Amino acid sequence: MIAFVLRRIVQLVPVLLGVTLLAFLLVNLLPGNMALAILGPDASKEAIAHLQEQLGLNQPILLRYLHWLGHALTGDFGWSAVQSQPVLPTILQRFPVTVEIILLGQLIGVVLAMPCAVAVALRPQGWLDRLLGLLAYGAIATPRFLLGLLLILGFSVYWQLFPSTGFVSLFADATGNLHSVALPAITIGVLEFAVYFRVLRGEMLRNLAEDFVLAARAKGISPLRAVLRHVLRNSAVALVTVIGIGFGPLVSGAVIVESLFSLPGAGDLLVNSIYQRDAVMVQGVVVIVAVTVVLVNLVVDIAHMLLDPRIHLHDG
Amino acid sequence: MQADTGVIGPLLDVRAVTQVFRLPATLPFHKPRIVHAVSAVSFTLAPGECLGLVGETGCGKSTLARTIMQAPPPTDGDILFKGESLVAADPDARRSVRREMQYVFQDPFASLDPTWRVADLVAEPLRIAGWDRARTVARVEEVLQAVGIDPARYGTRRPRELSGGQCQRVAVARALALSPRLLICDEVVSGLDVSIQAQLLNLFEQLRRTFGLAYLFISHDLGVVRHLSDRVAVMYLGKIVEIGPSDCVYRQPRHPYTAALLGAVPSVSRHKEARGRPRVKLAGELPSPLAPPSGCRFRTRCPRAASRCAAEEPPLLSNASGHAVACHFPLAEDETVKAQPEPVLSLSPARP
Amino acid sequence: MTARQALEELPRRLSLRLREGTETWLWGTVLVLIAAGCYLGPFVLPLANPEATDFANALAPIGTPGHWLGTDALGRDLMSRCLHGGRVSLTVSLGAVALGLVVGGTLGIIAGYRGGTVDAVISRCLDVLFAFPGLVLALTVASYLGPSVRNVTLAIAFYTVPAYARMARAGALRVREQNFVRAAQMFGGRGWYVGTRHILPNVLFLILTYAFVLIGIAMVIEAGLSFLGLGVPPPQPSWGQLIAMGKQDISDAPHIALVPGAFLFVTIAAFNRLGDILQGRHV
Repeated sequence: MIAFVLRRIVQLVPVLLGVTLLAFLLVNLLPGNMALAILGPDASKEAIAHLQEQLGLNQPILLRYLHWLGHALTGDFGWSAVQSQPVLPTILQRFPVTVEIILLGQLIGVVLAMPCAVAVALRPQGWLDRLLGLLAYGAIATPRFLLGLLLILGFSVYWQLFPSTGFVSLFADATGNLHSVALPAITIGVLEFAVYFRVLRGEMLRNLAEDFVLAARAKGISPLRAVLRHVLRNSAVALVTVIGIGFGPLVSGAVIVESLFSLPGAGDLLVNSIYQRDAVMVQGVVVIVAVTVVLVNLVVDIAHMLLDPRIHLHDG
Repeated sequence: MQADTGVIGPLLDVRAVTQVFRLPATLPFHKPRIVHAVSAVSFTLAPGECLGLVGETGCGKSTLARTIMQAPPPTDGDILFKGESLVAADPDARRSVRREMQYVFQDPFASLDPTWRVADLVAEPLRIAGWDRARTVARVEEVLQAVGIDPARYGTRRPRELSGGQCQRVAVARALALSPRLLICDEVVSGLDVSIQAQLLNLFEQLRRTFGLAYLFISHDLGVVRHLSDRVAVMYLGKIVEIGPSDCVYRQPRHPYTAALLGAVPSVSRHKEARGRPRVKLAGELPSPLAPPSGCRFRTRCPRAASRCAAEEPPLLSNASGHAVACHFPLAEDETVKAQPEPVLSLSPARP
Repeated sequence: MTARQALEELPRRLSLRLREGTETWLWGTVLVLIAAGCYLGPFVLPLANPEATDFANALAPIGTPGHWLGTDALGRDLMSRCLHGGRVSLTVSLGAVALGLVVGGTLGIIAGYRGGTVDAVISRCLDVLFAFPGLVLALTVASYLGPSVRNVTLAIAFYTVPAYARMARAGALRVREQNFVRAAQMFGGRGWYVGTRHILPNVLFLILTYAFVLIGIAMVIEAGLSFLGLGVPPPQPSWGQLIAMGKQDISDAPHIALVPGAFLFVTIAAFNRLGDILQGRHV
């Protein structure tokens, strides 16, 4: 098993390199923009050219990449001249907000999905099944910002329960914090719920027919206990897979939600940096996001293997 | 097309052909594992002759067949077709030889592209060989009729609209399109109904007479092979343990393994020798091709094994009537292996 | 020749699946209506100019005669804006998916069929691309290419191409193991021949049904881009942008955001549902 983990980690290295390279290329293929952005549209041509020279923007792109990579590996992601802030510390400062809404959203999604899936698995094709199925379907077809708007309409405008903007730090005021992130978290949570519910339901229905469950029932264990004991555990594998696959879209969702609700998270930083054409910052955020996705996939792979060794026994 | 009497010497000459597969090492410092699928197999096939090749699943017969087709080429040894080496040939020569040697697969549905129509399926080898349209159409009709499929009715159908037996006929027609000299049939009737099997076997016999074809007929079913073959070869764990004229091998097997296999054939046949044949028990499991036993590979299950069998590998030696066996203690004329009342090993997997 | 046959095959297979239930007809009709409305509507229907302001009739609710879907804060007719906007949303999404199908599908089939180094290289590249969430990737590309229909389509294609490549590769891997491929190789068929005549027709169905699901996803990404103001710029506002513009007046006149929202939702739901049905997942 250690071999498996090691092998996976080794396979990661070229991917991580490729990821950083791609992020760098995407952001930096147009050198003119960066100098222009810093100096503003009224700057003279000479000033732009001078700044370009100063910032080393005229060097071949691969050289600049290696230069950047070297610094990044020591923790120095550079300095954003546009926003007058160091890149990495700024991103890290914003991270907790993003992490909080993502975690809360996942929590809401999973906590709601499990009992619903259990209830529905015990009585498939019933009215609850159809209703929840329909709701899940609708949720999946709704873009997050639309859902967020609907929630704002409902819970901020009509029933003035939650705020639609603003953020209170967790450390300053816990209840205030929860209050301010409630709507964003629910926006994320609804979609996660829909996805998890569908997957769990499918997995449970599949597992319920399996022999060991029938055996359990024959032994006299009630259907509910059979479900809870055996089925959940096996469904956990599918759940872990889905969490892994869904992480990318989750990050995208966080970006949208932070913009909509004006939360000072990493996603909001990304969007604002793009508005301001702050290439260095955009690069930093994009790289961190991509690296996080790769690492999350690794963790999911390992968790997968731990939960269900059957799948990986002959991995060679 | 009559049997090509112009060919001097055997049509197919397989010389000490070996095929090993390297499995990738699981951990960086382990040695790669080697599967000895086929080990130093030699035999010849005359024009118009049918050689049956039998053995348990996993004995290497399919691998041998594919190796002869050069897909993949053998790790060692040589294969001569009409006197010319296939292994040493350049890709172009190899390609033109390949047309004279055709292969028919086991599962008819899997060997025919489901998105293609019957007429196109049969025409495929011709198209690849560069035949023009008119000649192709004519030839397709000819071979389809030869196998008993009406080109007008079935030409535009897709494989899923045909039965298993019909699909197999289409596959055979496709194999015949380029007028091959040799047809390698790999378990072509397994998995079909017994009645359909009989029909197909008759077809094979008929085609053989009409076109003067030679066959390498592979099967795990001894009964099927008996009908069609002039000679039979028995394979075990990558080696030929016995080979000789059908009648000789069936009536008087010289290798203990062959005797055991034949003891497993239900004796409904009218051949007298089948009745009263004692059932023979073989001990143990088929050894893994990753680590074949030293000396004689069959010794771990052979009731006659002695110390010599572990030390020395028995060579394939032929007697006066061309019946060869690879055994230090082959069965004599009226000898039978010690009988025990239990049922024997069975070659074919349980029928569903 | 056989790819063409496979294409002839498709209506039969598709119609078999489609015939399973009036629901397919329902969603199919919905899509056709929306597409017709967006592409043909401006020529056929008496629509107001989507940019024409009419302050007298600003914030008119749904059902106002002359502005059946209401107007926004500047008095612009919502029906007209939605239909024009739909054209942008649909064009971008369909374009991105078409690009993905052609480029990604080809790459995937090549990777799956060839195997070996080619596959390893392509797969690594796909892994790298997949590490970027769809929206983030599109955001970065679109902002640095500059906003226009073509560039936004390209930006979303950065997502659809790998998605398609992965699917096509999986399909090609499966087909490659089949005996009819081995048979063709034994006859002397070479790479290109086997790839187009045997592999492609057998994965075609898979690829085309996947298009529906992917279009749904592409529309979500495009809407997200537009909502953030980084999509196709005015005067061609897409649905996402219309929704963003309606955000300010959400308390007084929610319909300004909700009408384009409804269009977006129904279209995505239709594509998703049809995709599911065609892939055989009826639940």
